[in-house]
Amino acid sequence: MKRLIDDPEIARELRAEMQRYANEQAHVDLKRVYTRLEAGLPLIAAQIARPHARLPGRTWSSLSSTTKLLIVAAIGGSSIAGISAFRAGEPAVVQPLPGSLSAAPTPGSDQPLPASHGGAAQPPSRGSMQPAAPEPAGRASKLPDAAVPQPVTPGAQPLAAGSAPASLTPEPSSRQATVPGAARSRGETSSGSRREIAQLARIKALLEQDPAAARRLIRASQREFPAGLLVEEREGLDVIALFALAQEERARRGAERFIARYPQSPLRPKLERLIADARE
Amino acid sequence: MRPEQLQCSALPPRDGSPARPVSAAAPASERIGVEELFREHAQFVASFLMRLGTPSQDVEDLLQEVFVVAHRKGGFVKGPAQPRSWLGAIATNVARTGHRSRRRRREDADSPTVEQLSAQAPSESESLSRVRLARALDALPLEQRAAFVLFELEGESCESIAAVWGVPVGTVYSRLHHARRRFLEVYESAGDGTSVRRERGRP
Repeated sequence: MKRLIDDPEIARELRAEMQRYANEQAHVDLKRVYTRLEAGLPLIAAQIARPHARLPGRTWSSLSSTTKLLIVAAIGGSSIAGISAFRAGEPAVVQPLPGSLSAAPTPGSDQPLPASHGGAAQPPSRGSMQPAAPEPAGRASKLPDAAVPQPVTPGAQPLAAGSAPASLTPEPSSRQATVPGAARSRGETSSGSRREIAQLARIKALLEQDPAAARRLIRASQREFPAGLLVEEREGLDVIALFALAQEERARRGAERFIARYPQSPLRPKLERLIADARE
Repeated sequence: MRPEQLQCSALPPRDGSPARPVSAAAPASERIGVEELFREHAQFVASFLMRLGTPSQDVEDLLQEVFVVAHRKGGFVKGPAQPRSWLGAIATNVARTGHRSRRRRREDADSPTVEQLSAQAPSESESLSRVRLARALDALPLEQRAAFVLFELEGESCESIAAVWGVPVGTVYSRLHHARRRFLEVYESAGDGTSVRRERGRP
């Protein structure tokens, strides 16, 4: 069967128009979709693994708003390590994706979501979502920071009971946010969370261009969302901003405190590199 | 069997998955995981969704949903079908659900495809041609449109389409035949009515 486009008996005008249309591509931000997908698949896998807990249809549109919120929240964390990879206001341009779409498992990504996140299904390990593609160990550390979004589940690291975290930011409110067991408000509106995520994206966008402004926004965001979903990410970015401002000693202490408090954080390798660079 | 019956039987299951079963026991070497599928074919799926008439603001959500379904199915298992045909079948079902949802929300009063395509046309003469093309595509039922787009615009083979839909290749031909006839009718009527088919032997 011959395609109309190739059929000389069809008017040239129509064939040309079909060819033009066939050459056009939808303008979508594939990175954003992939990050969202990557964050959501463990939840889907968990529902599949627990058939009695299945939702009627395990698709994005069928997920509860709470689950979606968790997934959306994960977007903010997923791009933390690739600071320059996802920026607020970045045009939705189709770009080739990094070669490491099956992001390597990081210790933090395997942690269960805390119940204070709304009691959604806990994501299984990434190995369970990619049964056919075992990941080489240590792959994440080989990936360029700026190009590859590393998987993060914000707040996924359960805070160790009894540990007294030292806040990286001077505001008492942020210290309060990291107190173990501090309940995140179940009544937090999704619009509030979206705003928090948007702020984090803005922080990341500012980080390289104007780290001082990024720190101001971090403090403002901490005040606005002292018990928000992205406390850990903001704290990590705050330390990175200090390094960018060449406040190396302060940044080094902050980084060490951050690593002590969040040993599973995917930001840890980056911070360790920054500490090492500062020493040289 | 009448073509209409063939068409009905050719519809892929409505749970978002193509008819071709994906064996969970397929060896890893024969399976393409969702990450690789996304890397290789996400742009195709997005464009395919657009050509199915999905409003641009919904394409990203539906694109994600396609790969969620692909993940649930355990990825693509190599066989007679091509990954794009398989993803196209999933996208068709996802788009069908999306169309229903939008109808419920009464958000698609106008044809989004006509708007999208007109906006992309670079000149007035091409704009007219593009609107005609869009109207002709919009006139096709979703399943016919999917087959038409996959074959005519994306270049997928009838054999591959038949394999993912689990139907004889003749059924795909039948669907394409109906789709083409309807497409050309509407395309011609949206213009000055001149036939787009040249008579044999004429330049």
